[in-house]
Formats: sequence, C-alpha cells, structure tokens
Amino acid sequence: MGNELIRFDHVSYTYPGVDTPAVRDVSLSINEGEIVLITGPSGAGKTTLCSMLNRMIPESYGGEVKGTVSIKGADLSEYSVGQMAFISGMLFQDPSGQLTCPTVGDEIAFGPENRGLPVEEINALIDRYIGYVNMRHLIDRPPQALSGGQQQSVAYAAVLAMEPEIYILDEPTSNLDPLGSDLVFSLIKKVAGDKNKTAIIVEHKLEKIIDMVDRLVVMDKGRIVFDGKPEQVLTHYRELMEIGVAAPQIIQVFNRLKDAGKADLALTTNLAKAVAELSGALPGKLPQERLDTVGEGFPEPARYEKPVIEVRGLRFGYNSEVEVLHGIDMDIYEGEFLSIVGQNGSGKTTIVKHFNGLLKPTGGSVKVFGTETRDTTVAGLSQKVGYCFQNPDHQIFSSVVRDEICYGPKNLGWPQEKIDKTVGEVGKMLHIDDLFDQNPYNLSKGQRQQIAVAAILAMEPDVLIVDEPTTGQDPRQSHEMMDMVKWLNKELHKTIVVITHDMSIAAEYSDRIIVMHNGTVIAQGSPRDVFAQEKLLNSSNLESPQVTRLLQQAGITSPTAINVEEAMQLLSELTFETAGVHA
Amino acid sequence: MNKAVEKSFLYSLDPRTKMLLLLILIFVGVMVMDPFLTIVMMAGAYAMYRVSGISHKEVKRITKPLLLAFILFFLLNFPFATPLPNEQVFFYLLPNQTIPITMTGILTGFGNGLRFILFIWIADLITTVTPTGDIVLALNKARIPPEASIAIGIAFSYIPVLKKEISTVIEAQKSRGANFESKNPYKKVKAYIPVIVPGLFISIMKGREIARAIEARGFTYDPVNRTYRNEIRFKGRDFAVIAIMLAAFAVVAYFSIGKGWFGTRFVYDLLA
Repeated sequence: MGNELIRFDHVSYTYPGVDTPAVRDVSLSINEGEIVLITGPSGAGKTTLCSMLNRMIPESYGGEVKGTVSIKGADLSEYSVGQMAFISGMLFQDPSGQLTCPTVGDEIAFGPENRGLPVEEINALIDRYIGYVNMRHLIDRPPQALSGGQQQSVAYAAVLAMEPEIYILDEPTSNLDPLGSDLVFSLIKKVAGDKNKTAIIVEHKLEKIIDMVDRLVVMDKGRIVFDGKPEQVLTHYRELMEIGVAAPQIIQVFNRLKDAGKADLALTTNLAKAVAELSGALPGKLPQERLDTVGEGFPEPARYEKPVIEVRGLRFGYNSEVEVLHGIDMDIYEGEFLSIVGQNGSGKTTIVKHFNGLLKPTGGSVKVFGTETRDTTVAGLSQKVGYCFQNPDHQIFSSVVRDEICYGPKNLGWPQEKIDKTVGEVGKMLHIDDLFDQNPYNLSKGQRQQIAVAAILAMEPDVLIVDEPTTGQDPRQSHEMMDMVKWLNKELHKTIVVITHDMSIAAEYSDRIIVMHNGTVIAQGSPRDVFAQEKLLNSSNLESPQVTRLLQQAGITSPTAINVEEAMQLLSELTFETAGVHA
Repeated sequence: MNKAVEKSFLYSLDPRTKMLLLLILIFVGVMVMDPFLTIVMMAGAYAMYRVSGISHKEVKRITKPLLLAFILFFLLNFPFATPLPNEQVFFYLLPNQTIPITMTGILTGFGNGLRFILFIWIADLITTVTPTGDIVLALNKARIPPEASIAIGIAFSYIPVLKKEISTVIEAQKSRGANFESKNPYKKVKAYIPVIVPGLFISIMKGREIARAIEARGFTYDPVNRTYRNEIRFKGRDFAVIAIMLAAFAVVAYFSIGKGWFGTRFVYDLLA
C-alpha cells in the first residue's frame, strides 16, 4: 500500500437548517492504492463523508464543516468543486440522474471537455474507456435508452475518462437488478485490480463486493464504529446486525460455528474459498438420515387453493412488433404471499400490471375474482387489487397526509362517513395517524412509503401488489417494509404479490415464488423448491441466497437450507474434522 | 434516432440553418392566415417529414393529441372573429343577435386551428432532425453562455426520461381509481392535478441530481474555455437553403404586408 493520500482530521459536518450533525468528529486516513468499503445504515453519514472529498459539501449543499479534509497534505478548503472533480471522481446511485448527454460517446467526453483538453486527447480517452467498459458498440446510442446496468457502466466510464486520483462510488448498484449489479461489480473489480487506483465504495450489498476491498469502514450516526480488514470487522457480525448492517451469510455461519464450538473455519469473504473451507472440514460421509430428519422440521409454507387471479395463455406486447409475455399461465391464491422474481425485462412488472387492468392482454385471458380484466376498468379493479408503486413520490400529491389517503376512496365514490372511518382505521393500523395533519413532502422517504401503502389500503383491496419495496433501502429499512407487508398478509389476510430482485427477502417472507425469464415462467413453488434449482436460476442470471449456495456447493445438497438459521440447524448435526482446533 | 432520418437532407444541414428554417417557416405561418394556404403549407411540412425518413404512422402519432387543441382553437376563434361589413350571418349563437356566425368566423377558426398543428409539426420536424448536441453547438456559436446552452441540451435529453416518469405517475393514480377520461374540461383539468404535482416534484428532484452530477464532472471548472469535441460548419447546401428561404420569406412578406394578400378569406374570395 502507498503513502497516505486522504486524511479526515476530526471532521464534523451539519447540513443547513438541521441541528444534528450528519458526520461527527471523524478521523480517517486512506493510503494510495487502497480500496475501502464504507457501509452502515441509511443516514449514517457515508455519502456525506464522501461528498466532502469532491467539495460538494459544503460548496453545493452549504452547511458547516469543522476539522480538516486533506488530499496529499493539501487542505481541500482551498479547492473548488470544479477543481476537485478531476481529483476525486464520483459515481452516483441513480444512473439515469447523472447521464446528461445525447450519446454514450458525448457522455464519456463530457468531463474531459470540461477540463479543456484538446480534441485528439478527448477522443483517445473515449476510445480507451469505452473499451474498458465493453460498450464500444453502443457509442452512438442515447444513454437514456440503455438498461440500468449499461447506464451505470457509461457513467462509470465517464468518471474513468476524467482520470481522477480517487474514485468515489456511492451505492453504484442500489438501483440496479442483479444482472446490472454484476456488470457494475465486474467493472469495480477491474479497477480494484489496478494497483494505482484508490477507491472508496459506499455499499449496502456486502456479499458481492466485500471480496474486492482491502478495508471495511462501518459508520453509524455520523461516526466510524468499525474500521479494519473485512474479515476482522465482520467478526462483530452481531453488533453490525444491531445497527442495521447485514454481514455476508457465509461470515455469519462461520462465526456461529466458531461461537458454538463446532468448528473454527478460516473466515473468508469469498464464497468459493468458504465452500472449499467448509467441504474440507465436513465429515467424509454425511449422516443423511439425521439431516433429513432436521429438514422435516423446517417450516413449510401453507398451501392455498382458492384462486383469486387466473392467468391463462397471456400474451402481451407494448407494440405489434415485439411480444413481451409469451403465453403465461399462473394462478394467484387467496391469502398467499407470493414473490415474483426475475431480471429487468423478464416481464414481471408487465404481468402484474395486468392484474389491476393497467394493461390488457393482447392474447389469452386474465380473470380477477372471476371477471375478465378486458371487460372492466382500472378504477373498477382498484377496489379488488391495490398496486403500491416502487417510488412513493410517483403518487403523493396532496399537501396534507389525510387528503392523500382519502384520494382513492373518494375516487371510488364512497360516502364521506365511510371514507373517514376507513382512513382513520388504516392510519391507526400503520401507526401513522399522528402524521395525518402533516405535509407528506416534509416527511422521510420511509414515512412517505408508509403513506403510499396506507393510501392503497384505504381502498380496501383484497390483493396488494407491492413493486420492488426494498430497492435502494438498507437491510433494516428493507426488513421494516417487508415486516409491514407480512403483517398485512397474516393479520388482515390480504393476498400479497411482491415484485423483487432480492432473493434473501423472497426466501424469508414468501409462501411461493414465481421465477420469470424473457416473458415466461421458468419455475414456481415454495422458496425451498425454487432455490434447490441452482442451475435453472443461474440460467436467468439469478442466484439463491448465499447460504443456500454455500451448503449445496459444499456437498449438503439435501435438504435445502434457505436461511442462516436452517443452515445452522443442519450443520449442528455434523461432526467437523477441524472441530475445536482453534477454539 | 432512426438511420433513415440520419441519412436525410434536413439532418445533414447545419443546426443554424435548421433554426433559421424553423423561424422563417413560423413567420410565414403567422403571415398566412388563409386556411386553404395553410393546408398547402401543411402538405409541404408533411412532405418534409416523409423525405426526412419519418413514417406516416409517426406523424399520425404526433398529430392525434393535437386534434383536441385544434377543436379548442376552432371553438374559441370562430364565434369571435369580426365579420366583414354587411357579411351574411348564418345564425346567431345566443339570443338577441349575440355572437354572429359568419364565413369569416368559420375560416378564422379553421385557419387558427390548422396553424397550431402546422407550428407543432414544424417545431417537431426540426427538433427530430437536429441532434441535441448540435443544438448546444449552435447556441454556443450564437454566443449563448455555456451554462445556458448545456442546460438547454440537457433539457432536450431529459424529455424521454420525464415522459416515462409522468406515465408512471398516471399509472399510479389510475391504480387509485383516478379517471382522466371526463368530458367536462374543468373535471379533466382537475383530474390531472394528482399527475402535475408529483410530476413537478420529480422534475425538481431530477434537476438537482443532474446539477450535482455535472458539477461532479467538472462543469464548473472553467465553462468558458471548455472544449467542444464536435464542430459545426456551414456547407454549400446550407447557403442554398438559406438563400431560398430568405427569398421565399421576402416574397411572402411583400405580398402579405405590402399587398394585403393571404388574409383569412384570400382563397375563398378568389374562388367566390
């Protein structure tokens, strides 16, 4: 590792109009060539800290910085955002929010053009970095027409073309599907492999990235709470869980085996190494009968039999030339919790938009509670099927929370008395009745999401579709949201259809999973049945939870464990060959 | 942009020529009040669409939402146009000889409605055949500050993104039982408030995001001396088009302003 490059010396920062500091007395030193991962729950101060490195804070945001931030000993308060852009290049979360040029080539040229470089040099930079991200064939395409992963790759190439000394990647995959995330992670790996690059990555998804970094910094409430080598920091997985950071499942399993005195396996953040470590320690012959007995005790989801939505031979295309859904058959059962998983473009959102009539089949049929969706309107179906969109800001428009929640019931023509009663009940159920007189735009994103759900629930639908409820959220926020949806399922007996990319979430909450790929259903069944089919999932670029893959690849192929608890139950039946060696 | 458009004559012109073309066509459109001549100009605009590689289907798609505006223009114009002295009144819209309906009124309503469609067509055609990057370069040549020209370029690039956002908002509100199909114009406008507010909010948020993104790419480093990788240059065909357009403009202006031709009843009176 090289010399010290970045230094935060007792740095604190408070946003304008806020009393509590976002970053509190942080001291941090990063060396040249180091790849540092900063994680922590939302609001921990990660992005704020990074934004000081390119002077966005305080120049663009205002507010007060205390302490000193320096690069190579130079105090950054002497520099402008414009100058810092070529020293600390920053890649943001939302790919579509940072692509501003008409073509991919123009996008990559934008930074070098701003620096005033000669045209020949700019063209050489475009040529170098468009090749680096393998997008030469898309050079004349408008970036807005690309997929999320491709857009983020273009944005990444645009940062690379500025050739900064430091790369700051702020949750670069939080808005992407697994395929897009993999594309961006592979590029990060490429940069990480280049010894001259110093990179600071902010990320919640530790499993995919942890293996590429030299150092893990964990922040909470504006402070650094852990800082060190990833394996060393992750031994504190229980404390990390408490502040809302989910350690990779392989780390959780290995730590728990050690804590239980079962086996002291070498901690690793790499799945392949973990598989080798575990399979090396497993007994030569597995006690299959005992494992099967444990497996019989694994919870099995309830079976539901009364279909409320019946899809038969559904075909659909947004225009006559391209068909998106190719003859789908599926049933949604009353009272079940169903997750539909698949990559972007697999057709999962397109199919659920048929459930409330936003889209009508071009072939086949969709029946909701026995009524053909072709024969009714979206408004008519909205009393039966509620649709919660991913971003609450796509639906909130009132200046008062109560009016926002009343909007749906009013559209249904309910008498005022019924509206008041239902809205009041929904507010109490979701514990948001104290927010009724507030302006939704003054509330947090999490609260706005609750209001968006309340606004749908107030219409008393029997089926609730929830579109990607965990995208862009930290693990704790994801669980809070999903716990609420599960509660609606269990306590109010709502039929739930969740669209998600997050396989661990699907495993934890669903009774049933449907896997879609290229407009067809390729698998369906209980989470255990679906995750047992690793090859099939891989064919659609999906992966079962990490712990499932760990056990399967280590040789424990049956029964299928779908979470850490189940894995521990199976592993506790085994006698390890390294048991207690280091304990 | 499709390949046929990129190969078209209009696309190959310098963006400044296209801007001048747009201005002259709009001025000519303003001077020619006659609905029959407006139809002739529309036929010309349609021909330009087609030779520029834009399909009939695409023109239809652009025109369909304009029909409502055409009807509104007609309804708001035809009863209020000043009739000629002693002109035949077909009937009165209200009792006590209030709001006379005359041929001048009908021709004015048609003319204004058609001109509205013509203006949208011309603006759409010119922006379709002009890459956004060229618009920025043309504005720079016109000595518009780079902050403004880049902002205009970004605004053009973001139109599809905002369209997508707005259609998601519409779907979200439809899912809450919203009805946008009302025939009552007041109700129709009111129904769109739940679309306009989130649309504005999302646009403002996106605007902030973009501002930070371009700052992070060094836009504020030295905007005046930034490099523009692409260049624009007038070619022979540009001079030819400009000469023809200026000549056409002069002819129309001479006959329109000097001789009083091309008024609302110009062709009708010739034929009558």
